[in-house]
Amino acid sequence: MISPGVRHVRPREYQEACALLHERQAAPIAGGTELYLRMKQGVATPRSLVDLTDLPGMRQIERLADGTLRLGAAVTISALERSPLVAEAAPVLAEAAQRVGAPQIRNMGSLGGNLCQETMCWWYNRTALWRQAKEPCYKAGGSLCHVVDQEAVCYAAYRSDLAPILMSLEAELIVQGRQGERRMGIDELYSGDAAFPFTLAAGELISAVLVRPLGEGDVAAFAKHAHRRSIDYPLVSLAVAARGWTNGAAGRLRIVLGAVSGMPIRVPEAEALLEAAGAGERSVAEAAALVAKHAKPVRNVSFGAPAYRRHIAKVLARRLLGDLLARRRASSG
Amino acid sequence: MTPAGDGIERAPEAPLTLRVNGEEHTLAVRGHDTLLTVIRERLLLTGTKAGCTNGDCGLCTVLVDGEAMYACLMFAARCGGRDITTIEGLARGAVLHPLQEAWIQAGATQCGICTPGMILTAKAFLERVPRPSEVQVREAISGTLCRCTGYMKIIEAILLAANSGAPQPAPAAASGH
Ligand SMILES: Cc1cc2nc3c(=O)[nH]c(=O)nc-3n(C[C@H](O)[C@H](O)[C@H](O)COP(=O)(O)OP(=O)(O)OC[C@H]3O[C@@H](n4cnc5c(N)ncnc54)[C@H](O)[C@@H]3O)c2cc1C
Ligand code: SF4
Ligand code: FES
Ligand code: FES
Repeated sequence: MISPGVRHVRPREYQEACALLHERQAAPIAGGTELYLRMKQGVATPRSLVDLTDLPGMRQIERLADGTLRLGAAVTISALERSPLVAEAAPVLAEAAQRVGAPQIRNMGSLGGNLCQETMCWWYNRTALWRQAKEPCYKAGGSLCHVVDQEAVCYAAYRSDLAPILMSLEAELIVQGRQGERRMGIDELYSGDAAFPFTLAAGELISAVLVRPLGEGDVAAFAKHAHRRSIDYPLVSLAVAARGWTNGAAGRLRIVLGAVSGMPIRVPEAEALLEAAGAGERSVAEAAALVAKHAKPVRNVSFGAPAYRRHIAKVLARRLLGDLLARRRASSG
Repeated sequence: MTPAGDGIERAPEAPLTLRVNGEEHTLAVRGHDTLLTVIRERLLLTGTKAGCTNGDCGLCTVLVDGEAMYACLMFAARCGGRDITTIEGLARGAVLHPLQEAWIQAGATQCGICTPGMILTAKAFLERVPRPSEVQVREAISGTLCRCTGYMKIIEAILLAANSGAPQPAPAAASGH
């Protein structure tokens, strides 16, 4: 149930927006596709919604003087899909955008909202009556988990399709607050605790995402597995980006798993295996096994048993990493 | 005071001006009203259907500034100043829109509940991609479920409208499908 009295405000300046957001029970809103449903479920109860879409630069995609791709946080997912600048600087990002939800979701939903979407759990993201019928879990302020009952840990899944690829590209975020703006790596957005997944303070918002373009010798790929090709959230996704990979440089690889934990998961051991000189087919198999080991799916999404999702993680890793290795060999051979 | 109709700060129940099918309606909306409930229950434009009301089925699809969106996920209070098109806005008097004609010709409607959203999605799509391939059509309508037709007739209708050339700029050679 959403309160009929919820206020809608649309500031034009960051200072005003951050001051409004600092008030108790205010939440930012861009497309609203994710927040609206949580409000309906009663797990988000903001009294005022601060619309970010009219803030300066929020809906702009541009290349900065040094070539960096700057994406305003309120840019829609469709705009990412269709932007010639994205296609030129990081086509893999357009591919990942194209896999988010359904066309209507992409026309409404924003980049910032995609990154700041809450973690989800079948036991938590339900109606208030459903939640009241059971003891509250950690995420609801209680002291147990209905899915995994050994540890005091929440396993709600973070299912953004843009976060893994942006993390593999080592994107940076511009964060606006009442004290002005700061810049941080996208990995710093996540707390690691699925119950409270983000590190943004009250009154802070993301205004833009910065991506260093893929240059010559750089390779990146994204794969998503979902119940259906459209509409559905990922059961598991995988992003890989390798800089200096096919031009004889040392090569730096980033492997990031999505949808199988409370935040995107990097797999440094697998990265190191394939970065090593002399990496071959066996390294691919080993790296894929490591990727699967880092996936922590639990039984809290509507489809897909955990063992199945872990298996798919391995399959996606074998494909993407196998292809990456083949490209490196082809370039050196 | 901020003028109404711009989606800017207002007290709940303050009047808002919505532009639907080219006509302006000034009405008081509450903070929690969705565009879907306002269209159906206040403007009585019941051509827009309510299905899941959770963003999963596409029945509520309308065009907002020319793009297909789920009206069930959209706060009405944020729609001031935007151009909204519902299925009622397509025909000109007794003259149907070419997509509506194509739907009849292909027999793309059975129970009909998905039809308004499908046609509006197709309209926005053909304006952007006038000569689509079948694969592009499938992708474009993938946000709306049809539980009757099996989609084939719907795809056929959209390709028919595309190839009739009526709503689009001058055709190049028909693309492969
Ligand atoms: C049916 C359905 C299917 C979906 N499928 C997918 C999918 O496959 N993959 C996927 O990744 N997502 C999916 N989503 C989730 C979501 O709709 C999209 O990720 C979308 O991009 C969210 O953007 P938004 O602008 O609508 O977010 P909003 O709902 O406006 O905001 C989401 C959250 O982020 C916060 N927020 C928004 N912007 C900012 C900002 N700039 N700074 C700080 N906080 C901010 C809001 O306060 C809110 O908590 C799906 C949603 C639905 C309803
Ligand atoms: S994983 Fe456990 S603690 Fe987290 S939301 Fe689900 S039931 Fe609650
Ligand atoms: S009613 Fe809006 S998507 Fe189902
Ligand atoms: S005609 Fe019945 S759902 Fe499409």
